[in-house]
Order: sequence, then C-alpha cells, then structure tokens
Amino acid sequence: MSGIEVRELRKTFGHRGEVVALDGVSFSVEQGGALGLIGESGSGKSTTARILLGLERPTSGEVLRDGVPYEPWRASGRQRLERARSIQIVFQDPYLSLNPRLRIVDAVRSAAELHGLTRADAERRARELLDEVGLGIRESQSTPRALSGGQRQRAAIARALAVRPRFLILDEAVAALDVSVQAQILNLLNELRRAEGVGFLFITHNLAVVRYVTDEAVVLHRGCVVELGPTERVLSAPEHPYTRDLLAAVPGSITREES
Amino acid sequence: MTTIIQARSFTIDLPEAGHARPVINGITLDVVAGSCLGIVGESGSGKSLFSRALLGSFPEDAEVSGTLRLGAVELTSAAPETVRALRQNDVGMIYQDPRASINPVHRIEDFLIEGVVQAGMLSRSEARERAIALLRRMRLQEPEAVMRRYPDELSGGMLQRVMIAGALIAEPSVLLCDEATTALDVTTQAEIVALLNELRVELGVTLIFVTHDLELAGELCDTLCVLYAGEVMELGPTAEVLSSPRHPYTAALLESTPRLTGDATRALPSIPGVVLPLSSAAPGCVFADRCRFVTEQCTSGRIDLVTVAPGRRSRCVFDHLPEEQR
Repeated sequence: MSGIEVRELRKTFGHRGEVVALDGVSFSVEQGGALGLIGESGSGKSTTARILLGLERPTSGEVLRDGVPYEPWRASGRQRLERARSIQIVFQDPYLSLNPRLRIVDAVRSAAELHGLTRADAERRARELLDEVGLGIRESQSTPRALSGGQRQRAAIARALAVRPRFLILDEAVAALDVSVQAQILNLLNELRRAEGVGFLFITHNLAVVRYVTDEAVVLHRGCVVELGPTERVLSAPEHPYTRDLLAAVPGSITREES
Repeated sequence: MTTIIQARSFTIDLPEAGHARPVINGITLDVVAGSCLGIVGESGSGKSLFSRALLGSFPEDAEVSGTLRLGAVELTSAAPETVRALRQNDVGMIYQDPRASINPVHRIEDFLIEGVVQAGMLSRSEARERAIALLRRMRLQEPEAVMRRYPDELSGGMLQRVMIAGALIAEPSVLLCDEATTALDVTTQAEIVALLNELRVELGVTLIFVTHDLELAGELCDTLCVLYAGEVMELGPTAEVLSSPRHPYTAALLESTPRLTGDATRALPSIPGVVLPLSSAAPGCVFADRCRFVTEQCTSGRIDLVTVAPGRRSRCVFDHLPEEQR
C-alpha cells in the first residue's frame, strides 16, 4: 500500500525495560488519508509520533513506508533531509517551535531552501504557502512575537509544508487555541489536505475535534490500541469500554443524551 | 440569598500603556453565596484580569473605577493589609498549570500548611490534620504518604487535587478557578469538575469558574457571564444561555465548538477576524466588525447591557437573534 504502516511497535524505557510506553501498536494511514490518534497522557501517542519522526528507536516492531521497511531513527547526514520530507510535525505551542528571531517568511523560506530549492524558488514557495494558510504580507514580515496564537499556528503549518512532506503529524496542534480560532485552523487543515495531498496523523485527546479532520481513528490506552475504525463509527458506536468512558467524560455529553 | 460578590460598572483602564479602551469595561454583576459563576471568553476577553481583580490584584499603573465588592471588602480602594487578609482567609485560587504554581523543592505537606501556620491561624498539628482530611476529601489515596511527596512525584490530576486542598485549607468563602482543568485529560477533568461540584454543595463555597470552554462551564455553573474585549456580552442562567443564546457572539462561539454529534462533514463555522486590538476603540459594539448581523445602529453609538428576559441580559441591538441563522 502507499502510505505509512506501523506493525507491532513496542517501546520500553528504563534499564530493565520496566516502563512500557508502547505495547504492540499497529495501524496504517494511506497517502493523503487522515488518521486520529486518540488517548490520554501516557497512552503512547507522542512516543508513536517520535518514532515516526526518527527521534526514538522502537524496542521492536517495524515501520513500513509504501510497503517497504522504513527506519527513520537510523537516518544520518543526507538521509535526514529525506526523512524530513517524509514526515513533518506541528506541535501544540508554535511559540516554542518557531525561531523567535526569524521573520515568518524567512522561517518558511529557509526550510524550503534547505531542501534544495533555489533562493528564488524557495521565496516563491514561502509566499505561496503563507498565502494559502491565510497570512498576509504584514504578518509574513513579522517575527512570531508579533502574531496571535492562531497566526503563529498558521505559520508553523506553512513551515512544515514548505518541504512538501507526505505526512504531517499534528500533535495537539489546536489544543491551545480558542474555539473560534480552532475552527479556522481545522477548516484550513481540511483545505490543505485537498490542495497539497498531504496525509495527516492527528494526535489529540479531544474526541470532538477528530470528527472534523480524520477518516479513521485509533484509540490508545496504556500503549495498546483498544479500538480502531472509521472515526464516525468509533465515536458514535464505540465497542471498547475505555472509548465509552472517554466519550462519557466529554463535557456536555450528559445533557446531549437527554435532549 | 446573600450576595458575596458585587461589581458595579467595574472598569480597569491602562492609559499609560497607550490603550485606547479599558481592558475591563463596566462589568456589573452579582454572585450569590454558594453559587457558581462561569466566566467564559477567549484570549484577550479580560477573564483572567477580572478573576485577579477579585484577589485585589490590579495591573500596575491601572486606573480602576466603579466598585468591586467581595464580602465586606471594597477591592478597588482596600488597604494592602486588608487585601492580604482577604487572600489569606476568604479567597482561594487555583490555576491552569499546577506545576507552575507550586514550589518543586518543598514537600506537599509544607506547601499545604505553611500559609496557615505562618499566619498563626492554626498550629502545625492542627494544620496537618486539616490538610490530611482535605486530601482525603479530594479522593487522594493514602493522604499521609502524599504529604511526604514532592510535586514531581505526582501526576497532573493528583497535583491539581493538592492545589485545590491548598486553596481550601483556610476555609475560604470563594474559590477562583482560572482554567483549572484545561491542561488535564478529559477523564481527569470530569473527576475534578465532579469534585468541585461536591465542594460547593458540602462546604457552601462560592465558585468562580473561568474557562474558554462553554460546554465545560455548562457542567458546573449556575450563571454564565460571556466576556468579549473586556465587556460583558451576555449574562444569564447557564442552561438558557447555552440552549438559546441572545448575543451573536455567544451563538458564534457555540457554533464553532466541535461536537460529538451532528454533521461533521461541512466546514466548522468560525468567527472571521480577530479581537479588537487594545489600540483601537469602537464607537459602538466591540464585536461589530466580526458580527454577521451588524447594522448601522451597532457602530453608531454605545450599546448597553440590557435585560432581555427575566434574569437574562445581553449587550446587543437585537434582543433576540435574527431568525435566518437559527
């Protein structure tokens, strides 16, 4: 298949492997698809993301890219650039991930340049992307400090897309935003998915949010996949008790059932 | 029914900072003792400034006008020692990130009892006893063992329970919760909200629950105050405000909230534009340039917060939302 697949990923920490972060996690995302990775703190969401980015080496299990074994944690030198073109990530707080001294347009341009575009092409690509994520000339010329939270997150998304990655990991990328801004970013992500053909791995603890941006959902609990299926099915007819508990804990769920 | 908090045209202005309009503008409301008021609003709405004002803390160089009374204390003109006594005895506060507001090198026991012992309110052993009882009430297993732990040995949910115990140790009449469950997982959040509800019923403590999450406020609050750009947009019983908002801003917030039911295939309605910057003042409604029902009347003159139904107030030229969008 064309896309990313993880098989039986296991990751333990500690000298004797006493902390099990991932305990046999398997799922796949097709090229251009969108998968929600749902779970609470300690469920293994971020460890999975770190392995896909090559920041962590799994204890066992494998990652396949287009059906071929892929080991981003082994990448060195030139391979790192290639790795970065496969999967990019956008974090919860763009303030911590954008260079505070670079103007937004330079941050996006330098990423594209690093990946082989000429300065002129990189500049063009940066302008194009910033326009696409809804940042005007004035915002593009600013440093992150001068932007609002929503604008910064748009900038972080543009920078991640600068290298035309095949997949974008969104790690709680809308969690810190106000609902009105969150709605704008979710709509933007859907547009980008269509326009750029990029696939999403959407990591979140917010169950309502995954409905708007993903086709499939995986529910993780203590390093294990407890439920996997089409997002709408997982949320409307959950099979695992843990998924049901999660859904019941969402604010407003009780009043909704009554009405 | 006694009123424990009373605000009348309460305003905080920062003219020195070059702001064209006040950061808090004419808040008028009453909070009944033992009830829960939800203050909802987005970044820049002034919700945190207002909750800090309830602790008698105002920004430097602030020009404060109107009145803000908590119990018998008029906060806008209170002497520093009155404010200190108020914080010690009458108001407790918990914040979003417990780890950022607890000293990591002290044991939980020291954090919990230091304040009341230093203030001479309780002896060390009395304070210890009360702290253990409170931790037990917060449903922490083996409270004696928790007392000996350091903050980094506890999970976020456990630590937030410790913070609540710390806020309650002096038996305050008011507990301010500023985004107190925002950083927690959804199941932990539900547990903490249930706990707060219990405290309100059993201890009769008044809760001020500041959040950007309307649905969450709906779980806990009796009354909802929707703030935008430092002004009250809408005020009323929570269930009514959530089911039939009278102000276009409240309605827009509710519509842009992702939900577990309903159509998820269409684009989520969002509010265009950004909050009116502090450097510009609006002659009329502060929400006018983002409102889809905007009329000439909205931008020509001041819009007041008016009673639109029994117990409900809204700051809008319409007392009902125009039909087309319902």
